Amino acid sequence: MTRTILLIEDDQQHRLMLRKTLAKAGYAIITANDGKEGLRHFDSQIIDLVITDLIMPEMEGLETIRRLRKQHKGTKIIAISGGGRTDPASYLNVAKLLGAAHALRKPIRRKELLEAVQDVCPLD
Amino acid sequence: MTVFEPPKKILIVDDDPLNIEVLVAMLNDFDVKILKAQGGAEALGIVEKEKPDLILLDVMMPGVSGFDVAKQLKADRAHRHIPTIMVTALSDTENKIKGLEAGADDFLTKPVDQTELKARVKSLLKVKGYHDQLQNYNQILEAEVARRTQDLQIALTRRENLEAQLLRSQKLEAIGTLAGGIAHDFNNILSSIIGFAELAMDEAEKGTELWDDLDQIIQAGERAADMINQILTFSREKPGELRPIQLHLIVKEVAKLLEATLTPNIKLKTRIRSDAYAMADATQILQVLMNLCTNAAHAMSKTGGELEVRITNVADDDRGLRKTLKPVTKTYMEMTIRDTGCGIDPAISSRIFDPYFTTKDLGKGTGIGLSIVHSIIENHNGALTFTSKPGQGTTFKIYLPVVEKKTDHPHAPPREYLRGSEHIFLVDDEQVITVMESRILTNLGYRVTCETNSAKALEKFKQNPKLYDLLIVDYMMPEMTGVELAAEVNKIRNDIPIMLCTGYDMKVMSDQIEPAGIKSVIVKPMRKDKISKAVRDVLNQSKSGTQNDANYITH
Repeated sequence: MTRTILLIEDDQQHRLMLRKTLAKAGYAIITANDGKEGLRHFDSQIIDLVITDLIMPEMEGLETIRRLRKQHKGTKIIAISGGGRTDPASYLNVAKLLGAAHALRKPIRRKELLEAVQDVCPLD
Repeated sequence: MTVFEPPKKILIVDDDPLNIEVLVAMLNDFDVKILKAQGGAEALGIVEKEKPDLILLDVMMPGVSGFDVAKQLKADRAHRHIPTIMVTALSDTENKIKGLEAGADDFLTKPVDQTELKARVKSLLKVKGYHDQLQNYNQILEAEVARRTQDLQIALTRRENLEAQLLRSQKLEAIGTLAGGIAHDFNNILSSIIGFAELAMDEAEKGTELWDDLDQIIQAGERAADMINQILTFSREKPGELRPIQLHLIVKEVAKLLEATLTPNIKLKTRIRSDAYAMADATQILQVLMNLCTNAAHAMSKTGGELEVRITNVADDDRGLRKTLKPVTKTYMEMTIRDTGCGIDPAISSRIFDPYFTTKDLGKGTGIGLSIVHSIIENHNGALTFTSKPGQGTTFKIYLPVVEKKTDHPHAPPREYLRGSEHIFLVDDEQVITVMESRILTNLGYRVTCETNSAKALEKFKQNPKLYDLLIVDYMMPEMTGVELAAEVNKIRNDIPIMLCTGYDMKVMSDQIEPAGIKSVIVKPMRKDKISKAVRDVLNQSKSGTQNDANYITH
């Protein structure tokens, strides 16, 4: 069974890298530039896992997670962040409080990413 | 006040003892000590020994004449102020001029008239008295000037130290601010570099040159990521959890770690003279000690030597400590890390706490160690000093305030938070912060209303100003700063207590803070213990109606 991951990340290059990495591991990938765009994909797709950046224009990651928890309760979430004015640890902790299964700090190593993804969304 | 004054001394010089006796008799109702000399040479000897206040000097003497005596006395700095009256049978003008040129102050012509003698002597003794007094005053004045100059020098040195400290913390702050701004983008970029390199590695065969090169890219990326993380320590006060810990336990742990890593040519000495408690983050203090000890070992790597780690209690009247710490009345403990290595070159000693400053070879260090050490110690309300002699070694001293041990189990002190049920209006433009802070406050029992836009917050407040018991505002917000918002709110309701949150040192702005009705300034990051106490204090103060100046809470 195909597993579909929605990847929300505003940094185009980083998005491409994650997409290639996850596709290589065998996942189907949909990408979005921000939370708003990402949520729209739920209308037309079955999504098993959302990987979202936390600091983004339009809809930032925490708000995206909050909405996902409300509108698509069963969805698994992995948050990623490199921080900014605030310590990424604080963002990531809040993301976890809001219901993210894993919170990863950028830069992300492939092993760490794939372990987290396989933990919540294992391939058959 | 009576001051004992010894009688004045008058030296009478004449080659004829009879003449001397005549003058002595004429002066017998003066309370003076009379000294006698029968020649110029003898006179000079007595002057040296007795320092008379007046000299009656006969001009015509065999050998050293009166003129010669006068000349010599006037040439001598120590005696030129002694008034001299020339006693002479010569009444001609030429000799008087010669006498004056030699330095005589007055003349008496033989035979001497008693009244005249007494008048001249009296007047010249008076002048001498004034002169002596003046000289005394001068000495006092000179001493005073010297003392004040020294005070001034101390003050100037102190000021220079403070300025250097300020400059250093400003530099660190600037770097931190800058780093905070770019960290986000930087981590994205690094993540892409590392990620793509990992993808490319799939296409390469392990053991090939291509594989090795890609591996180097990943390692470089990770090094850069570490560096970003360390730089970010400046932009955020990250003191971790400060708890009462016995620092000697950390010193022991450091000693264990060092024993395993030190080369045999370095001898480690640990001296534990204190088991006091300090409020500290154990991990950070361990890092600090490891950093300093590693530097010390590095300084002795070629020559070998002795590394001493010492912990002692220090009284708060320690002078060296006073210089480096803000005025406080705490007891401190002192941790010393002393090496006998190569020392720090005086030319660079003012820069060792600068971020990026390093003496290590490229790739061996990031140059961040000591500046991090410095900021960690500052976050612990401590101080860091060092002394170094090139070729002899370096000593770092860390001072941390001692706390009373409050619990039997230092690693898990029970935490009692101050609670309440009042209604708090929280305004911060960063939503993450409002989420976190409102969670903290709600957990403490308060009702919380949040707003992320200061203009909207003001509108909301205007609609129902009586609804809230406390306003907490962030300082740095677009549109309206926290201080501006506070001032507006204060106009509407001047009895509502306002707390200002800030990531910056706002002490310089105190002239704006108090008029805006701000009762308390709390420096980020917020910890539960800090915020619960600050909120309760402000609310209690406002209920009891006490008017205090704005409190300043940093830790």
